[in-house]
Amino acid sequence: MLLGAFVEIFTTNLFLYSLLGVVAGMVIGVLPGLSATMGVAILTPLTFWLEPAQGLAVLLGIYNSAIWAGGVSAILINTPGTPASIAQTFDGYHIVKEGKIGLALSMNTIYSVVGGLFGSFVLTVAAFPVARFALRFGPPEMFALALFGLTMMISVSGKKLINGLFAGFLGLLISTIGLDPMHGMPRFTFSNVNLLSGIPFVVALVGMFGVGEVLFQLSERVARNKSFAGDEEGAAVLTEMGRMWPNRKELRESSFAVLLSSIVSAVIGAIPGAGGDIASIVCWQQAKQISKKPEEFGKGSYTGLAVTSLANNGVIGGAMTTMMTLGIPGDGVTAILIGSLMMYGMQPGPRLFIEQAPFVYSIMALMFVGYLMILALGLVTARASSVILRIKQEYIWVAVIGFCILGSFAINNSIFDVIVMFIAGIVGFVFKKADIPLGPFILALLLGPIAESNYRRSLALSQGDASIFFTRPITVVLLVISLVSLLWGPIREVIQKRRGPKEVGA
Amino acid sequence: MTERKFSLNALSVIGFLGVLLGIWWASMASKLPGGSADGTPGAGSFPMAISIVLIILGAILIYNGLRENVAYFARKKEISDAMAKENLIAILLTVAGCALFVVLWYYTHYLIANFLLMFGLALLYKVKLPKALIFGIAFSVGSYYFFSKVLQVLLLAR
Repeated sequence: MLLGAFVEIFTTNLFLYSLLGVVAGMVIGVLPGLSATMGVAILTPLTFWLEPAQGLAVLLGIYNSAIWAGGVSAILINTPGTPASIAQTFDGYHIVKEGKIGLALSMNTIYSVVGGLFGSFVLTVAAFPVARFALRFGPPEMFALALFGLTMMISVSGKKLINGLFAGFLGLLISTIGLDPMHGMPRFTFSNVNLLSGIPFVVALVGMFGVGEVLFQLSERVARNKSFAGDEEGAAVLTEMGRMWPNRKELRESSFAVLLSSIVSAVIGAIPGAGGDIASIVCWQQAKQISKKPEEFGKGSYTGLAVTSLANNGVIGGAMTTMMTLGIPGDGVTAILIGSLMMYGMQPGPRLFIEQAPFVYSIMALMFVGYLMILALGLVTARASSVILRIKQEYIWVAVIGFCILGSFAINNSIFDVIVMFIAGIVGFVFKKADIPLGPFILALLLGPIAESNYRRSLALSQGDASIFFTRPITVVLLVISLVSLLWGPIREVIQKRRGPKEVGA
Repeated sequence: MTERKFSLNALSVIGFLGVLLGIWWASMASKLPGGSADGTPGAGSFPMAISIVLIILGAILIYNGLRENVAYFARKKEISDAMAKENLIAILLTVAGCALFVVLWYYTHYLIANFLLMFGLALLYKVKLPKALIFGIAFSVGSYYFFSKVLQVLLLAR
């Protein structure tokens, strides 16, 4: 069936939609401030009219390509194009300063593709067995799973755990607007018919990541009429490309770290909440520890650039596996992709693999094809990256607001959604300024109805006996992991504080 | 963002708003059915539980905000006074422009409202007049044509 999906891509217009997504993702990824999350969020409503496979071809193209292209600006101007490419600045920019621009860019492309293809392989191999396992899940397991997804997202809020929890519970609160999922009773609708179906997830996303981001960037503006390349050094950086290909020695030196990072990043990707940024940093530190030349890391190490380029794309396969099989997002973009699938009338989760198996195979094939497009595009258009970087921020901001309006209106042809989108944008801006993470809020908005309906169904099954959550093995495991992931941060902080004075004293 | 200079204690303000929202939500949830005799939770049980947790978290946020006293909205060192003022005006006018756009779209036509918003925002962000004009026309006409003719979406607000 996978072979059939490949044939379908090359014999229908799926190939063109995928290419469209890859090109759009390249532009979005290269421009700092336009993240993959924002790109997929804004363009999701615009794919509403397409067939599900066509729409996903565009969105997956954007997702994979934006993460790869984020590395281009990280390498060229030391500014990550997307948060997932933060770690690529550690070594990439140093390599560029040595005059090896072509090498740095081609390494980004090659290793991104290696990581992406490995992740796609993991998705292909692991998704069906995981989905078969997840078919055993009943309401208590689904409730625990929703809670697990949410706590994992909150736990990566770092030191701002309370901020993450606050955002998560606020999202859960807002998710209760609309019809009660069990009995269809209107709640918190204030007699407004537009609120009967709740706050539209995609609309809130578009506002928070689109308008909210524009307002945030406006507030951080240091100078007017600035291109993303910024200073003259950045703009002029691509005058001489140097050699394009890594030599045998460079490939050999990084081979073990690359192999290890492929596996680690795919596993990290499958963990809800842990995205490309975390995977890149973990793989970079791991590669440094096992390297014979750890002193080169952070100063232009080829292995450092290779593993960070690989890791942020390597997580995508794992994240897609979790999203498609369990309906739990692995990162911010897959959270939006869940909303996209729901918009197309599909419910991610194990049943998707039974009811829509050809569609699932199409997604897997699109991942592979997308990466082959990135390989070709990345090697051919390395020099063109500088042109994208010269676009003035002001045009991007205005265009983003324009697309947010169109995208939010287009889903339901409703101006009410446009108003909700603007309000979400203001909330997103305030949250960002106050260092409150948006991820838990958005995820809670998505998982809230799943958590509530399965919580209530579970208690209906057990006639109000809460022990149903503590007597089923999968539920217990998920709840324990959720609790540990939430408490681990504060516990570690306490341990470090206790150790601190002793170490100082010693 | 982490300057220890008081300007607006955003965390405390957000925490306070969270507490208020939680109380409001809880009062509304209390009017919904809490559950049935067989132990099945009703429509109000989940929102009530969430509201209570939000009130607690809001209170912790207020405490954290007052204890840390971090001026989250404080101007960054690299942004000049003049630029900070310009940024604030740009943000406020962007929000006002978006609100005005909704009203205009409702009472006039997408083309007019969208052109005015795109052109106005471009000018506000200091794009030169001819370029702003071209950009405004190109975006509004292009998006209108694409949506109404290609995607068959009528961009009508009412």
